[in-house]
Amino acid sequence: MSVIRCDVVAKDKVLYSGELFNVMVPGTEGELGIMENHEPFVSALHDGVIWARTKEDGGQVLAAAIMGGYVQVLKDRVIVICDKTRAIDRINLERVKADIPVLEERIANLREDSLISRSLLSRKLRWCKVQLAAKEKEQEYYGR
Amino acid sequence: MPNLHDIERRISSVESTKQITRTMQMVAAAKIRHSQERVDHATPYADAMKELLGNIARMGGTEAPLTMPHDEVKTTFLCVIVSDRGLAGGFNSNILRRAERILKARKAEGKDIIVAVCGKKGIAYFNYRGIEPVLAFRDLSADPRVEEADALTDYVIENYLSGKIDEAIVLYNHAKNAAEQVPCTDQLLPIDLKSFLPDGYVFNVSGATEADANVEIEGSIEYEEDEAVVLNQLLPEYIAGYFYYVLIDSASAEQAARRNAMKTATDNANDMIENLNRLYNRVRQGAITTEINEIVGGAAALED
Repeated sequence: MSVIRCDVVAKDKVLYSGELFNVMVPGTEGELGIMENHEPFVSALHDGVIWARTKEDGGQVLAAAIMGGYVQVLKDRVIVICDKTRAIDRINLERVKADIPVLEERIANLREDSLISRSLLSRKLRWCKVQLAAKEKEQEYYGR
Repeated sequence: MPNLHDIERRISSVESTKQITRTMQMVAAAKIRHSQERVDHATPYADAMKELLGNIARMGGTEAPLTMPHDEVKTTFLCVIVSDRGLAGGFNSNILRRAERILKARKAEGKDIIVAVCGKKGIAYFNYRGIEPVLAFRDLSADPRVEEADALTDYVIENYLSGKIDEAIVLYNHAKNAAEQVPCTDQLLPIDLKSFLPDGYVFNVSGATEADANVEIEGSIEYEEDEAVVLNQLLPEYIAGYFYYVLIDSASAEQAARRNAMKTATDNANDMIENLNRLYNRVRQGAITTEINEIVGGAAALED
């Protein structure tokens, strides 16, 4: 069976490390499906969802929202690094939904010169939106 | 012979110093765990990034501007990472001494040097020597943030690309384990991708090991969408990650160094108290003996 060795790491944690059958990442030019013996490449990733399976049909499914990532593929080695990631089933939808308006309001009320807080808050907001989109995508996926 | 009262005073003074050093030792010990955890969480990312960049080197390398050495090295950027507080043994002085050596060597070669400092101890050191740091961060050694790493990253990249600096060197303490800190001198710019996979280095991230890191892989890497676009994002990402990692590594080393230094200080205080107590008892005994002799002598004189 074809197997790829894959590591998905964020700045502060390891999301997945081990063998997979295939993995799908949100490339800059659309979703990229990667299996064994893929042509070597390096790419930046869009914010979105990463899916992976350990077996051809079924198997354990990895599904996580990721933000600010890169991927490198070498034959059977796949490295995904990103700023932030969280497994979709661990996303707390209510909390994310509640946070978005709060963050938006705080950004709107910031003084012009507070650049650091602005970039921090916008990052948080971006992350919330990525999580929300990921959750919606998952519901769409399982809805079908 | 010192008198009893003086010894008593010294004992109580050493006692109170010991109380301080022991408290500092316990505080540092409590902080080690937290700072070590933070480093542990960041290590997989740093390793994966290194492997990724090393793989690029194995597959023919790249000509991204950040990896290309300048023709002539005229200006060196030196980033010195120390702590805000002292009482950590050789933690700060080891690094500052190395910095001084590099400064002298570069000056002797007639080259310019630009210094950036993290930590009050370093700022004070360079100010005293009349060197004005271009970037100075204080109050972060306990809790470094991504923002400081980003500020350093912006500075080095912008100045390297515009040719104002020709190499960047980082000095910091690496926390090898809870007992040992290793002063490190890293060449950050130009980025040497080959150095990420040194001789005989076997990568082991997901439990499987890479056969030989030095074997060049056939073929070439495709970049999506363009080599320059991807690497010009990825390499700054690496530098930012590097600075952050080094800052938290140094913070962890600082706590460990402080705990060791304070443990030694507490042990020394204990020894000192023991010696002083012995001296105190001897002096007291001596005084009693003298008094008895006087009494006996006086009584004998009366009998005669």
